[in-house]
Amino acid sequence: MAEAAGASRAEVMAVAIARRLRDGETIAVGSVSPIPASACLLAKRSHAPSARLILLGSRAHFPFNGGVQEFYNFAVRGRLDVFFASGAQIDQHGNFNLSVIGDYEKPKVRLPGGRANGILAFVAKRLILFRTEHSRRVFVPKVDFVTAPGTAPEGVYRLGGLHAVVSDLCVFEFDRGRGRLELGSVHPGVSLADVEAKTAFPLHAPTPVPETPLPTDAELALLRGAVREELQTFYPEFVKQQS
Amino acid sequence: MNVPFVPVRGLLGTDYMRVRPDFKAVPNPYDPREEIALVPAVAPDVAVFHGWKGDRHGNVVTSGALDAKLIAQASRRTVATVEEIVDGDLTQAPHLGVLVPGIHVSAVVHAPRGAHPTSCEGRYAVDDAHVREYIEAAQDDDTFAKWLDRYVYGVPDHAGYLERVGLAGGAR
Repeated sequence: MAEAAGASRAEVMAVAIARRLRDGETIAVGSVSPIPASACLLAKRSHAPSARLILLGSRAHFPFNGGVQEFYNFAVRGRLDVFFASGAQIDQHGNFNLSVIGDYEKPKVRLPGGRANGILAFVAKRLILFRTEHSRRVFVPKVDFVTAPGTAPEGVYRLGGLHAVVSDLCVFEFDRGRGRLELGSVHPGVSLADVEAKTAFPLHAPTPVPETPLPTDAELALLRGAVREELQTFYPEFVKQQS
Repeated sequence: MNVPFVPVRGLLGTDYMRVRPDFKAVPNPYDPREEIALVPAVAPDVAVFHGWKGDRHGNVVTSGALDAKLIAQASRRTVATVEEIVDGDLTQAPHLGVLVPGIHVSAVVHAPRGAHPTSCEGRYAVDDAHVREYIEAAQDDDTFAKWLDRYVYGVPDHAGYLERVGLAGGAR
């Protein structure tokens, strides 16, 4: 990955996410989510020491013994402040697709993501989407399949909703009033033109476009030290690739 | 559990409601201002899960991170594979993890390393190399057929499988 002042894109993403997490919050991360997991561990070791972490796949950070069902019940009660998901496709209205590419009956690719997100995206107070591939096939005008919507229909039980999208190029904020994604910041070393070229919908960028803050030395030291060591216990492959 | 359906908070506004006509949107009977989704209960004929220990009464102790106790109650028959068979009665012994009482279990099979290539919490980790091999093989029908021949049809039993993947004797 390209480096900006010594930090990898994965590290810039982790720090951008970590800074959105607050002390005392209950924060859950699903499977196949090493970057959000490292962001949580970083936040817990810096500004959010009393955050309660629920990291699927981790023994140390899974406080339930009644399986995933118990975790779902906990989430539906409104106990999650933050949850993370990714999207094979993410559209301008904050809808995301983790279910199927192409027609549902004759899919080009069938994906596994329906189970959690059809529920958790509705009940977490802030949903943060992350994606390490910022491209026109990911950031599309309209998803092929709505696994979870940016905006829920009237009368539907929804405790929170989409908060932001963090990619390897930029951060989008979700404007709930307008029901659309708006460019929040571009990562160091990335230009607005880069993001425009790789996004298949309008960016609604502010002028000037803010830059995502670089990780501090202290944040990088944690990410490469204690956080990596802990992440290693449940994301060994990711840690191997990053080293 | 044999309930006919389960109310779900979520799903409304997703395309699951479009492709699954058996998912229904109804007013919550106890609070009609709320629209709520109903989904039919899944009732498997057979469930299989892997546990740490089993006894001769069918009691099984497994990781609390799994939904074994739930699927054991939802299925018509439940088969538990376990790392070890122990003497005595697990319901009478203190234990870590979750006890799935034998009344929910149809059969217990002694299968050390039975979760391979996935992990068994506290016992062994995921076999990443084997999972990678599987992912590569699963890319097309030809290579997948070869994978099946090598690891499924081409071995006489579980011990033969363990030997093939280099874990003969159920080594830890």
